[in-house]
Order: sequence, then C-alpha cells, then structure tokens
Amino acid sequence: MNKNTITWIGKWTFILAAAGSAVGLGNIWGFPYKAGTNGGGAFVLIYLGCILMIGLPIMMAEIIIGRRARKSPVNAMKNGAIESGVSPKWQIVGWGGLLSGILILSFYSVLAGICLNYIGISAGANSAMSSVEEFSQATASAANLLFWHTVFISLNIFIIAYGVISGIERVINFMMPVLFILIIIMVLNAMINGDFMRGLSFMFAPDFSQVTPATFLSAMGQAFFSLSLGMGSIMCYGSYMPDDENIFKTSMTVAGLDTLIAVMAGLAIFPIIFAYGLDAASGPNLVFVSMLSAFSDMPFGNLLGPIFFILLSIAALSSSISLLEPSVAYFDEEKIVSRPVAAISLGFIAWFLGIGSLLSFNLWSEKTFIAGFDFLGSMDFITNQLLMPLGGMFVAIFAGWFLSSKIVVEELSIGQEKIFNIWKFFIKFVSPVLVAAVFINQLIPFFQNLLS
Amino acid sequence: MENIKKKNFYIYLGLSLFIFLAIAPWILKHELSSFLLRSFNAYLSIVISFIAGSLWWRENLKKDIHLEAIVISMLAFLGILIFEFNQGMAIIFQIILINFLLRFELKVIGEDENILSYIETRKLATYIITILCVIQLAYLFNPYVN
Repeated sequence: MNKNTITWIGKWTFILAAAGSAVGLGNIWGFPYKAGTNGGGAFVLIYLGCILMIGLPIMMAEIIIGRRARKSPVNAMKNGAIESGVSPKWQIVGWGGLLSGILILSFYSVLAGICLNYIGISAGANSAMSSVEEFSQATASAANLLFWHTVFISLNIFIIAYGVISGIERVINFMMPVLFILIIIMVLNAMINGDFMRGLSFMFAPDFSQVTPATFLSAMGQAFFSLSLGMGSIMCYGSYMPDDENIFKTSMTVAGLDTLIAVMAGLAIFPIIFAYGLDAASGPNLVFVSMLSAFSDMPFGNLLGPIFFILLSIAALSSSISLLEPSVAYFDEEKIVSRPVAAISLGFIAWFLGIGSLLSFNLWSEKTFIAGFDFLGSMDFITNQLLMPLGGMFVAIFAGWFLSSKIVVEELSIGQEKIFNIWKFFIKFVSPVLVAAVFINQLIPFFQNLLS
Repeated sequence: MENIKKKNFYIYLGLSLFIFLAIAPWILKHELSSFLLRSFNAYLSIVISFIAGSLWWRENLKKDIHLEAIVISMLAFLGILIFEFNQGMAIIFQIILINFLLRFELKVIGEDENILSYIETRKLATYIITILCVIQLAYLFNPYVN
C-alpha cells in the first residue's frame, strides 16, 4: 500500500476546499436563524468559543492523521493506529466516515437539486402563484426531483472522476471565489433593499437573558456540524495538503471562513425577510418559501433570485464533492477499481438511496421508517445524529489518547510546542466530552419519541 | 523589503479606518451617521490626494507624471465639494477616481518584482474600498434607514 503522492498545487487550495466542504446548506440556512433566536451576539460569542474548543481541535486532528498517512480516511486511521502501536481496528472510524459521506450525499443531493431547480423558478417567479404553491409544485413531482437529483449527482461524479488536481482543485479554485463574490452581492442587495439594521440587531444584538443550557448545546452542535467533521472529508482533503503548510493556521482560517460566510449569509437573508414582513425561519422553508416570496416582490428579483440560488447550489456542490471523495479515494488507492469507475459506482449508490429521500416529499410523505421519521428524516437521523457525532468523538478520543505525540509534533510546524500542549489538552479532555454532550442531547428526543 | 512591509502595514492601518467609517453608520445612531458618511468621503479624498501626490517622489518613474497626479489630487477634493450637493453622486465619483488612480499608479510604477507584494496589497485595498463605497451608497438608498 503506497502512500499517496498527490498534493494540492495552489497555496490556498486546501483552505478553499476545506472551507467549501464546511460551507454548505446547513450553515447558510441554519446558523443565522440559530443565532437570531438564541440571544444574537451572545450566541455568536458562545459559538466562537465552541469552534475553538470542539471544531478546531478535531479539525486539526483529522488533518494531522490524514496528512501523516497521505491516504483515504480508512487507511489513514489504520496507519495512525499502527504507527502509534495500537490496534488497526481504529480504521472502523474511517469506514464510518465513508458510510456517512455516501448516506449524507444521497439526501443532500436531493436538496441541492431543488436549489438547482430554483435557479429557473426564481428567474420566472410570478405573483400568480404563492411561494408555498411554487414549493409544493416543485416537490410534488417525483420525476422533477429525480431529474435535478440526477443532474446534481452527475456533477459530483464528473468532478471527482477527473481527479484531485484536474477535477476537485480546478473546480474549487473557480467556485469558491465565485461563491464569495455572489454572497457579497447578496449582502449588498440586503443593504439596499432590506431592513439591514433589524437584520444586524437580530443576529448580533447580545441578549444574555436568552442564554440557557440549550443555547450552549445548540452552539456546540452548530460548531461541530458546520465544519464537516466526523465524516472523513477533512481527513481526506488533509491527505492532499502539502507538508510545508501550517496545520494550526490553516485550520483557523478554514473555521474563520466558514463562520464568516455563515454570518454573511445571515446578513444577506434576514434583512430581506424582515423588509418583506416574512417569518424568520430556518431550513428549506427559509430559502425556498420565504426568500422566493421576497424575490418575487423585489426590484430585479428575477435576477437576484437566480443569483441567490446559484450561490446555494455552489455551496452545496463544494460540500458534496467532499462527501464522495473519501470513498472514491479509498477505492482508488486500494486499486479495487479506477477513480472514474469508483466515482460512477459510489455516485450511483448515493443516487439510488436518494430516490427514497426524494419520495419523502411526495409519494412516501406519509411513510415512516426510523423513529417516526420519513425516509429523508431517517437518513438525516442516522448520519447527523449517530454516525457523525460518533465519528467526531472517536477521532478526538483516538487523537487525544492513542495517537503518538511524536506524529503530532512532527506534523505541526516547528516551534509550535505551546499549540501542541493546548491542542493536546482540548482533544484529550474537552472535545470528546462536548461532542458526547451534543450526541446525547440529540438522542434524547429520539428516546422520548420511542417511549411515547 | 522592510520598506514594502512597512508600506503594506500602513495600507492595512488606513483601511481599518475606512472599514470603521463604512460600517459604523449601520450600527450607531442616525444623527451620527451623516457625520460618519461625510468623514468617510473626506478621508477618502485625502487618501486619494496623498497617494497621487506621493507618486511624484518615486524614483525611476516611466514618465513625467506631475501634471496628471496634480489633477487627480484636485479631483479628489472636488469629491468633497460634490458631497455637499449630492452624496450619492460624490461616492460614485470617488469609486471611479480610486479605481482610476490604481490603474494610473500601476502604469507609472511598472511591474517591478520587488514591489509585487505592495501591488497586491494596493489592489486588494482598492477593491475593499470600492465595496465599502457601495456599502455607503446602500446606506444612502436604504428605505429602512431613518
């Protein structure tokens, strides 16, 4: 089993790729609402603290393990375990990451497909049909959802089949600057057309009276999930990181960019929502219903609407390629099949599973699978509430308690002893406990549901 | 090299005041906002004028640029005057002027490899100030600002 010799060519590629992986639909339509309804600036402060205590140490651990081995997450975990003199069974954590990636991609692609569909819908939005009706119409047809789901998965397959440098790096280097420019345009639009001051106050005015233990758990969950941890993506991208890049600085930049874009998304969305008297919400309702309604009434809405949905589609695509890449990299390095064949086969599996998720919007909307959830909800439950927190927790436990310090010191740049000591403390004692708290907190409603 | 580093540092320092003046009207009370907008415009005029003026002192210039630089400095102060009559127009005028100044400066200083980092920083600073000017325009035209 040879080490992978592929490394990102561009100085900024890892940062852009990892930030692209982290910035997805979740933190565009989740973070601003959570901030606004959990004490505004108080939540943002707590969130930043959680990024430092949970996100950053685990991200660094994933990069260290990935870059050390220069292999896919399964073999990177195995390599780290063997080099540290512990059981190679730790590779199970890598397998969990691969499984999470494929399962998440299956339903993420359905949602991203709706974003693609909405580029056209928002361009031709008319006042004859309400945005709720538009959303119902777009999701009522399984064939329509299947078409856009297929388009989105095909884009992923196409990019990944082309390889790390010719495919992923090239696309990321184009998409991320475009994403940044589009989000600036949307924020400027919100500054001109929206109730920007109310949006600012909603997101940032600190209200410590709203801070409860649930706020901390919510911030911890957001900090963990928004950085794409626990599913092998960062570990896989880390395996392509050049040796001379500083892991600490790079991780800080990725976490900073992720937060910046989430905040900017909030500043692009909520001033518009308030200006048009719409309900502040989160998730698909916020963008597919509320925002579409605003665009249909806004000057140049038929132009700004598509820009907004292109922005969402780019954010989704930059995340989704990082979901498929770890599995494809494993198949490729084990010489099971070639990269293009691996991309097509694994993409097909995700596409096939996605059919269940798209049917949850229409034909299977009444069917329940796990714990009373529909198919899409069940997939979300398995990945976001079980596999990802478990993956993150075990990466932290492995890195904190089992990974040889020699490996970590060698991977961190020279003269970073202080950073090593701080990182070691957090990854050993703080991060696993906090991720466990998020994990348990997420499972409580599940058990309550089961009991009732 | 040390000199370039120092220059870049001053650019970022100057930029931070621009950022403050552009964002503060959205956060502070409306009564203060008009003062902040005026300050932003005046500060921008001074900076443009200063950069244009400092071009005279550069060594190894490709051509004699005294006249053009003086005109740019004068135009920068014209921006302050325009602001008194039409704030939006003044900001648009300044956007054009600062981008013109960047192109002019790059033309006269040439593509010297030793100052590549300075050129990069200058470009970045101009783009950021352009965005900040648009933010100022947004403040002027936003119907919810009172």
